[in-house]
Amino acid sequence: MDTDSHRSRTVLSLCNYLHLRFRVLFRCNGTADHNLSDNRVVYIPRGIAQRSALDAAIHDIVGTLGPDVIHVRYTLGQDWTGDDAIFFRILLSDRASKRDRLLRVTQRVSDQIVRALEPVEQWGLLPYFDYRSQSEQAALKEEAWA
Amino acid sequence: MAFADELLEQAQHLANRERKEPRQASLRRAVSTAYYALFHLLISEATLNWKRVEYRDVLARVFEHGKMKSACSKKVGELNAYFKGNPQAGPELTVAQHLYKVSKAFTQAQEKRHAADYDNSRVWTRTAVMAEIESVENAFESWRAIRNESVAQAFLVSLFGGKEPGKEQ
Repeated sequence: MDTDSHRSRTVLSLCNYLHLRFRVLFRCNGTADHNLSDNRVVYIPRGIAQRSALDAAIHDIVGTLGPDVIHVRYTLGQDWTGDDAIFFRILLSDRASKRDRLLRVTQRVSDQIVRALEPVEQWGLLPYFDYRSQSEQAALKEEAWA
Repeated sequence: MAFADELLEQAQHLANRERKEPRQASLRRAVSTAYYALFHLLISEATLNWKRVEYRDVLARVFEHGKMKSACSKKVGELNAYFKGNPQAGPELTVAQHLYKVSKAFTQAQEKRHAADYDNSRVWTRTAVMAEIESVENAFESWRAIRNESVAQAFLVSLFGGKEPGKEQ
């Protein structure tokens, strides 16, 4: 038990250290430096180290997106170049998915999320956005979008 | 019609090729083609600055997808910081908004192109593909609105992967 407790404290200290280091890097560079290829610093984005805080922040933002957005799902991972990323899957109402509104809606939604969440600056994650209409999802029934 | 415009038109064609149930092959090729439309637009604009016409195609081969993506995501970050300061309405803000659309569309399109070409587990829908193509179309319009601006030309140079002219790094 003591050993587990000690291990937890050690892991927590390490996470705090990495978090502080990570924030310092941000302050120095203005934006996240995604090209840290040396072995001196283990780079853990805040969005991964503090997942529950990220979830809470996204939850707050989703509530402000309006009726065009049915719901928002997301996954953390890496993009094709290896940068840490957050992949949003945004289910739109059928009305919002119509050709005459789609661009306006998708730009508004992604800009609103980026400005409120600051995924790169605050969480160290590059944001990517994917959209699907409600009727498309009803036909596909894909779990990741449910 | 310029090659980049032809690609964009082809992306539209592929996305709408099947009226009711679009084939995954058509949607995937549409996503990939939309990305390449923007890729070729930007590199053709950059190489136009090379005086010797016969070497422009050779110069175009120097551009790398990863470096272009890094430059664009960096530009998005810079512009987000600029917008956060609530800049006054005017030509500078308008140019920044256009450049933001171009940079953002490029990073999004490149990641999607990679998924469309290599991730067979992903299911594409017409909405996803049309959102992507419209974003690229919008980036074309934005680029044409600012292409002669100094910041737009500096942005093109940054796509090589080095320092953007006039920026301390």
